[in-house]
Amino acid sequence: MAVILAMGCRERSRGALNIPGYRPAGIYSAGTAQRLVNIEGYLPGRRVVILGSGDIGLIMARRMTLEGAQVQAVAELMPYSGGLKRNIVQCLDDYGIPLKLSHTVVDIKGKERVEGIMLARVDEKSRPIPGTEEFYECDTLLLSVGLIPENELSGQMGVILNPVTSGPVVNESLETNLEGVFACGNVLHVHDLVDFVSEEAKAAGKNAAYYVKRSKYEAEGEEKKASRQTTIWIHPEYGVRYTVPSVLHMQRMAEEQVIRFRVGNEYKNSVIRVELDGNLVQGRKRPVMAPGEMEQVKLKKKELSAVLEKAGRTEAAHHLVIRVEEN
Amino acid sequence: MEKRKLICICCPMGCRLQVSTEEGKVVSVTGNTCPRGAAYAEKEVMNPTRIVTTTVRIVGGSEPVVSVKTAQGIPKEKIFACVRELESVEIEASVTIGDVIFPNIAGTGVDVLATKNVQKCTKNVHK
Ligand SMILES: Cc1cc2nc3c(=O)[nH]c(=O)nc-3n(C[C@H](O)[C@H](O)[C@H](O)COP(=O)(O)OP(=O)(O)OC[C@H]3O[C@@H](n4cnc5c(N)ncnc54)[C@H](O)[C@@H]3O)c2cc1C
Ligand code: SF4
Repeated sequence: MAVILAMGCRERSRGALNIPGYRPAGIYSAGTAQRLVNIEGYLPGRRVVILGSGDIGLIMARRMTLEGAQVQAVAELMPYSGGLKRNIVQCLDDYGIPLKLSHTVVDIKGKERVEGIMLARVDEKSRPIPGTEEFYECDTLLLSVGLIPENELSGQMGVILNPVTSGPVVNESLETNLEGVFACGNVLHVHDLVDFVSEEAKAAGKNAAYYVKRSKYEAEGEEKKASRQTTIWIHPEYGVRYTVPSVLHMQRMAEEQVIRFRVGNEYKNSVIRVELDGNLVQGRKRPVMAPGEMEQVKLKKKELSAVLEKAGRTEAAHHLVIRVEEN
Repeated sequence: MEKRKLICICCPMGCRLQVSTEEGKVVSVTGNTCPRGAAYAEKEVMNPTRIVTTTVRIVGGSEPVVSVKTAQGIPKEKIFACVRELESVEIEASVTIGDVIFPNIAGTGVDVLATKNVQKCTKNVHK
């Protein structure tokens, strides 16, 4: 039997943000607002402030504007937006909506319904700077402040989670530390585009099916366990925050393996360097990388074997490093 | 001579472009790293267009609204006219992806198409 974890993410809520004040109506997560507008056909408010400038926040700014709401501002805690340039231009600039970088909500006014919110500039440590407060009159606050993989269940099962992604640590087959338990999609790591989720889901399904078949063969003694496993541990280093997967078993790996990751900063004209036991596997030029866009490298099994052979490495365990090299 | 500042959206570099126009014609583009930036600037200044996505009310459907989009980009200044014109439109269920929901929106010559399927529903009718 195999299990595939595909519980997705939940949106970070107001509680996770520690915004002081009453709990008036008119505070929605961006996803809830999206559902209300696009599926149920209701406009959740008339005058709106949006907290968070990832793609979801930006797209909701445009959506609410087109539906007749007045979006006063999009506030972003970080000094840069997590969203695509295209979305900043076409969702904010097109409608003259200000993007307040390095800003956060410090107060929400209103008892029954939101009446306005106070934004303030923050310092490098994300602490609000006194005296920089600005009041925005509004009836609605949309929160688009991050997604949290839904992994309570995984944790209870004994699945080891990566503290960076809050998702399971998986191998080349998207299998967790528990044999026969696989993971894919937003529960594994947060995706920007559903297209990659679908790809991952397909891979997890295929691997799980293969696992079920293989364990049957193994039980019947038709397939002996590979006599020797070659294991490659993947280490994210400079600029790379995490990788999915985290470990490759050479014998089980497909001819081509996709490694997905995110960078921790904006990098221009840099190189993604992949080294196996200190030997260069590939160096790929990237004109621009940003934390908001998932990156990937494709590893060929043949190339990895060739590198190991050339270096005369025959150990069972190897180390693959992925890092950003700045010019 | 008039100058405008734009951010190129053709790739994630997001180059900052300066466009100079004279008598309604683009005379120079600077700040672009590649030719696509110049082409974008020219189009964005002379004839900016956008694909518009919104929703339209459904009568007698399993859902109250259907998501729609313009088949092509429409002139940027027609975005609001397009959305306002669609506000009063009601479509009888069922609707299939690709159905023309509204032809020639806001006089642009562009049709508005459904991007979702909505079935007929006899109970729980949304109005
Ligand atoms: C607000 C928002 C807007 C987005 N907009 C876009 C967009 O415009 N374009 C795009 O490409 N991508 C978009 N994305 C990203 C994309 O939607 C996600 O990457 C994708 O849906 C993730 O798919 P998933 O199957 O991993 O998770 P989900 O789609 O979240 O599915 C997980 C499912 O598991 C269920 N579940 C959870 N726990 C359990 C349990 N214990 N038992 C049973 N079921 C459970 C959940 O209810 C849910 O139905 C958006 C994401 C969000 C949050
Ligand atoms: S000018 Fe070229 S390099 Fe610069 S953002 Fe546009 S397409 Fe990218």
